Amino acid sequence: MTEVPPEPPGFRLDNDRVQAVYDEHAVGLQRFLLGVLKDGASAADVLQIAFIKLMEKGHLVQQEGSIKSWLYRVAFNEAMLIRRRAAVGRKHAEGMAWHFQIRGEQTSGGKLGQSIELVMLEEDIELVRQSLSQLSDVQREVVEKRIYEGKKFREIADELGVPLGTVLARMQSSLKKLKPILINRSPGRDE
Amino acid sequence: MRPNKPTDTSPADLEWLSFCYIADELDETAREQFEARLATDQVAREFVAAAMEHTQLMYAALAAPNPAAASLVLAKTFVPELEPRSRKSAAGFSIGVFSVAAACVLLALGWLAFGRRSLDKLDQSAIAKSDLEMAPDPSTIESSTGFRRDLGKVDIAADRLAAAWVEVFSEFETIKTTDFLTGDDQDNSYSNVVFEGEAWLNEAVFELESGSSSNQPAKSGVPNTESKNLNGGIGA
Repeated sequence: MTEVPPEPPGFRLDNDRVQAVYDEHAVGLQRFLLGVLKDGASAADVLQIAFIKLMEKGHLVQQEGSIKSWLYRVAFNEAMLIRRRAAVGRKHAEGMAWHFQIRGEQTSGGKLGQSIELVMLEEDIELVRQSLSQLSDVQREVVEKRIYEGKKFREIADELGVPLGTVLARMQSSLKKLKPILINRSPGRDE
Repeated sequence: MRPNKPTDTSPADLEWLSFCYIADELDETAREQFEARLATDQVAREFVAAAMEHTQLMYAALAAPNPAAASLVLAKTFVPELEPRSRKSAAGFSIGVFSVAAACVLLALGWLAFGRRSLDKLDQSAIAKSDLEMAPDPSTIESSTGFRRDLGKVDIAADRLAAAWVEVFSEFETIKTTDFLTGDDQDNSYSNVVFEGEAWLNEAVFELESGSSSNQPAKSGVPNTESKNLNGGIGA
């Protein structure tokens, strides 16, 4: 009965390392996948696949700093694969009302199965609410129709009886006004 | 301005492009170009993630306003608006008080109509011994089941109501029914029915209401009148 030799150093990422990568990047990666797939369930599936691949092949990523980029690339490729397969890419109806909560599945290896909750902090929401109230009426109207009501820019332009360029300019200027608040609302949120 | 330049590299343009991408506002060509960029450009991917987060925040802020926070903002900016709110709450309070009072009255009436009757069935012996005038303290009557009956004000009110009924029936007794009846109706007058009822039933009622020690009607004469009425009801 021969003893199994220990795995060589660098062979597969240990659970703690995977957990650390997960804690650091899962939420951002989830949002990226939502933006690509526009479907919460598909995004959760792809997120899981990406981290399974990280467990299987993460040790092949030589440079420590590129794990994030590698993870995003793998996830994006998986997302495109799923989208081509399931044709979910053009789904727009639920556009902005995607899930704020995603639950992973328990894996035997470690803490990966812990649930992630993309909880919008109440103070963040309040801050954004206040900044939205600082927009002009016409700007806020466009933001509401686009973000909350999910109307396309073309529809909004027709509804308001203004050129499409005007609607786009109002939206863009609104985002510019909101950007400092969105970025600086909590230290370290958006690098 | 149009969101169809996926190769723009300035952060502002990339931000706008990312928003248009997640909002599904890019045309087919622009979307494919941007996705080709996403396959290789980590900065663009992170812009997409940030655009997604910001959009979620804006949606949450627009969709689920916090009432507490909203009221604070309202108090700071539109103080006069608070007045109608207080009027509204005062009206609500009045409605609430009225509802509670109405519920109490209904409960009392319900108890008078049904609860007391059921208690009376349980305490027939105790009630037989008591008299409207002779009972020293209605709240201290002990039931046959061993539980103390809490009669109190409700029972006193019930007694007053019963007394009022008795007065009404006494007055009816003094009225000649023939005054209201004409012709053939007089032959089948209500008074005849009342006084020609079953004698044994009258006696039983007298016994019940005047107590076991006496065969005579109570001194107030109240049970007598009631028994006549009861008899008349049965006979009719």
